[in-house]
Amino acid sequence: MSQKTLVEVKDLTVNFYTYAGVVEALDGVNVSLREGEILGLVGETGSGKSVTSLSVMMLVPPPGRIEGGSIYLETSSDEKDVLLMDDSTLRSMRGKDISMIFQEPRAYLNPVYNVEDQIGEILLVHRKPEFLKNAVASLENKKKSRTFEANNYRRMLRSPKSLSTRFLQRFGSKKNLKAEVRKEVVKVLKSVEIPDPDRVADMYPHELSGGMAQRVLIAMALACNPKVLIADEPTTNLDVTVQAQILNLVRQLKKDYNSSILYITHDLGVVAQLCDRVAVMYAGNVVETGDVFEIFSGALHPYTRALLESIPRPGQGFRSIPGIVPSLIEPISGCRFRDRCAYAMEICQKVKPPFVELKKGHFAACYLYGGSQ
Amino acid sequence: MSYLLQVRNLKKHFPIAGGVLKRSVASVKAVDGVTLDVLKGECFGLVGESGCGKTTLGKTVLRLYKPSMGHIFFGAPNDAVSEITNLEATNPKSRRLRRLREQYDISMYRGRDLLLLRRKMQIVYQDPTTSLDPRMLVKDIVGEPLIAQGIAKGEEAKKMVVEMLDRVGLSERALYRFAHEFSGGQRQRVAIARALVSRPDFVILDEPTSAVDVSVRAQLLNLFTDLQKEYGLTYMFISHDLSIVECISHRVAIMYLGKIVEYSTTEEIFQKPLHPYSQALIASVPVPDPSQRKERAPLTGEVPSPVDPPVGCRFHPRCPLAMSVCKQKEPLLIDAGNQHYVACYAVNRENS
Repeated sequence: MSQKTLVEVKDLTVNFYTYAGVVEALDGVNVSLREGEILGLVGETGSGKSVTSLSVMMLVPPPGRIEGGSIYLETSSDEKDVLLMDDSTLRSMRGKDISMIFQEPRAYLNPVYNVEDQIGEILLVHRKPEFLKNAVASLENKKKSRTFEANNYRRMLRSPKSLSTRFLQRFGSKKNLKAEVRKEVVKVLKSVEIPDPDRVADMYPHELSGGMAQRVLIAMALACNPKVLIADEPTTNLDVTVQAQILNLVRQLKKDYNSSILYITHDLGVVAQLCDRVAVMYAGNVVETGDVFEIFSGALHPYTRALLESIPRPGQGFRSIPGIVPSLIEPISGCRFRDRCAYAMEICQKVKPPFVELKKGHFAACYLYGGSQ
Repeated sequence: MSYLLQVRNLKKHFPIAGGVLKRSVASVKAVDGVTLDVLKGECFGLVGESGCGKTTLGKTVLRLYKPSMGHIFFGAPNDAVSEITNLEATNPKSRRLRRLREQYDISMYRGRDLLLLRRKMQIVYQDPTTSLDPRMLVKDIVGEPLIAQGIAKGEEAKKMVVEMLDRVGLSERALYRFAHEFSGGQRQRVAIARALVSRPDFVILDEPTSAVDVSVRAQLLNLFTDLQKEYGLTYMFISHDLSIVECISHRVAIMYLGKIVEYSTTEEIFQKPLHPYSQALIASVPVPDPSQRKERAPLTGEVPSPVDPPVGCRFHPRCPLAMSVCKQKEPLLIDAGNQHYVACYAVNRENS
């Protein structure tokens, strides 16, 4: 399979400059996302899953700073390295080429706007000319092509940034443009299997249940048909039955639009059910990546194996990983997993293990499999 | 086998105030007629989706809420319980019934009785960040039940606190620290120490591991099983994570919209669930094995509002087996053989 790579993160380093010290959140992360696949990014709290995904959209919040590495993103613009993009390129990239859904859908929806306004906003930011054209066409159909409204739309199409447009577009009705946007909003809501989309479009976030709000967020993310979707623990706070519905929806999206999805989760069950490939993160490093079947049947890195063993299975007791996740302020030298690892060797203390391909398409960073320099 | 906790037809309704006069216009029927027995020394799992009333049931059993209706017996002799149920049916106004209930039914307890009861029943909450006072030292957090109960104070209390902290895996150094100085798993250990320091018989664990990571989760679950053996505790384990419940519980009850729809031993429930809701719930759990993929969501729709639950069986709008009788009459929780209780017309023919 020679699939196109849509996202390629190389040696990404991110630090957070806090009062307590410099938190080395990401320490040379390598991840790639291919066309039409679901990549599961697994790890515990604080392992850097979310920071990785936020970096791809250049949304790392201060006091975080991207210190090094490169992020390649397949976009419609000329610039392909996210780290070198200017603000306006970034703005047009976010939502159109790549978009994101989050863990707590209701926290990411604006409580004072209804669903139609919020989805409509994205549509108007990225696809305004399209809607203006449709609105003009519908006015022409109604034999009202010479009204102020129609002229206004034409003006907005012709010279969207001119002073006169910016002044005049405030006046007059925009009924037809709104009607076009609403049509599209309802269509998008329908595509995420929301029952009665016409009614939901008029609802406010507090009126939606958790599962419904997550669907709205997914609809919002898909409004401009991005090629890459980042899902940051989208089902963590949902019930299992609703989770199963959302997982199904994600699967359907992959099938229908051939979109690539970076799915962040800590639930290995979800990974097994949904993903094509898996990347396991620990304390700011990707320690292993590989095909989902390979990871579940023949994991190489001791951390991945410990993680798989900690899945509760009836009649076997609960196996835990000894110790706790290390602090990322002045982290330990060498391999960051070494003081919880049963196989730690001398070299693990000194040099960080390189991330190498051990089998075809199966990468791991561990000295157990040679590579002792 | 003796019962530690017996709950009979327990209801907890929360009024909704409305109108100009803020009168009660409707009520949220969070727990709506629950009957269950918890055996001494077992771990009783309570499973359900969010909003089904499992936490309310737990809090009502502890008398943190006043029940709207029903009985809760805690460590009551069996003959007293059966006499009360008999009298309730035959002579609900008798003085004997009233006296018995005041003695045994903890839903009637007040004042000092309730205080003494608290020593025997404790709870560990879901999120230790919010359930521990950020301005109290660990010494005071864990020592507070001792002082409130009048069990010990001063140096003696401190000694007991240190002993308890040691038992849950925290050192003496934790004494003079605040909750925010610990990691999530350690914080939950402080909460466990606080619950166990007064040596209760019965502990409700309300989603105690949903706020911690997978690797820490196993440590806590092991701690729970060890402590249960050591102190002879009885647990009620409330959770929405079925894989944990399957591993830790002896018996499991499945709740839907304020009612228990099925309960039996863990093996029975997970190996051959009878109620369509239980089947869907268990099938929804993602199996951590990529070769066992399920490409279909077993259940559509969402949980209806507990303000106005569906008439008849509460699950009928989402049930694949719904019949006409399900829309009219509520099914009773009946033994389908082998101590496996189910409330479903499709399973229990004699129910109708």
